[in-house]
Amino acid sequence: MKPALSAAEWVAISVRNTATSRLILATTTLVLILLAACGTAPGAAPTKVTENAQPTQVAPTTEAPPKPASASSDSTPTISQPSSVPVPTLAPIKAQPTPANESRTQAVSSTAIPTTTAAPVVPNPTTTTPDNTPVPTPAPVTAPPPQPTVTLNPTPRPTPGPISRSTQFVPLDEPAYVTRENSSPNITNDSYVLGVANNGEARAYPLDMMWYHHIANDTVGGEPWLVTY
Amino acid sequence: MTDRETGTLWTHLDGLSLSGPLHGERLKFLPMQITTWDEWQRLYPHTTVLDWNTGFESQYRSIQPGASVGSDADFNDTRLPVNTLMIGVESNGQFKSYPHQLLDRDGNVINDTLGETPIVVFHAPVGDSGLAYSRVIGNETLTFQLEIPSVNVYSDLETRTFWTSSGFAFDGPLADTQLEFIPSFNTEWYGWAEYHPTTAIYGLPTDWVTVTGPSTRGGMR
Repeated sequence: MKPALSAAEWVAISVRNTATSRLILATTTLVLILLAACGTAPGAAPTKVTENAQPTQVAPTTEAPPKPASASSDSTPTISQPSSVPVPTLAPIKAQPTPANESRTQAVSSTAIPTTTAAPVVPNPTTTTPDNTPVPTPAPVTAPPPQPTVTLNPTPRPTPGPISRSTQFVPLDEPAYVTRENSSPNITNDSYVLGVANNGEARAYPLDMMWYHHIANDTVGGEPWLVTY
Repeated sequence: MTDRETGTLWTHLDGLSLSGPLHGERLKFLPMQITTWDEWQRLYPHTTVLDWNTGFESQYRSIQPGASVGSDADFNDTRLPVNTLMIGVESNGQFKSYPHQLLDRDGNVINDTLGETPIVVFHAPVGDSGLAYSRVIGNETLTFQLEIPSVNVYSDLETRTFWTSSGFAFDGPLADTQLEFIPSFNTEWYGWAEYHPTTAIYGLPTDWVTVTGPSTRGGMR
């Protein structure tokens, strides 16, 4: 196994691929990619809606189920969960070798995994932003100092970075998760999430968190997933 | 982004390896949507959610899709406003952008053909999400419409089966059928167009100029 790219390589690559570096920084796009080699049926367990249930309420989200729902026995009669249905119409997904992930552990129970692991320090392209490239500031009245080792004038330079970070961004590795009943009060009904469902398991990744991490290396439905934003 | 095992460099938008030991590989797509937390819970009542307490809570902030982050200043494909919310679809090497506003205007369902594949693009009025699926079931090509906007339920004209925005038939003759996912995701114009400068855009240039920027529908209830 080769070590990750050196910082110098990161710089070179980042500079070469401005689109990549910018997009890594910008919280715009997302991709959900499955690294696992096994074929899978996307999505299961959509809501069963009765046909004449149209006009009024639809979301039983505020009904707080009395039990902490470790087992998802739903008390709502209008909802059925055909979990992990084998889907005959799904095109076969070509297996692809993913040697990098063979050692990954499978999903555990739906209780929280105590992984608050700060990921290994990754060479961070944000530290190589053109922040320290010379900025053509208009010459002040007095003769400029011969060597620009010290910035004397506090003229504000245009900030190239869209988002100022106080730390490097850190990917989430096998992040801990909770049932929806135990979700943080910071996540409101109107909060946006990245939603994934695989092999009967569903998980939400709040944008409020993912805008910072950008990457989650997770396991959903027994398969290793990469979630990017 | 890179993987720690091999150091291969990957695009985070396409899952395409640009250089390194795994150069030439591509990660597989699976469906993921950006939607609201309550809509996601309605779809998947048994869902789990990331634990907020990661040690980085001080970095988290309220994020709205389509809000400009200022990194698009030098982006110059002006066919659409830079932060336009859209569904990007890829099929057989063809790329197409479906702006949410035009999906709204045209009934939230687009029966289209991309890369010679009949596809349907579902836009979910609730949650402002959406993805693309194949319209082909067996030998039949279906035609979809939005059936119940308040719960993001669709139907096909041929069999009157009811479908979710995830392409799953939950009632009707084709019940328990899953449409084949076509690689697609929710994104903004500048990210998509920078990766895919040859992308087509749904509608006509006269439609595009009516797109005024990111939709403010979702989450603004």
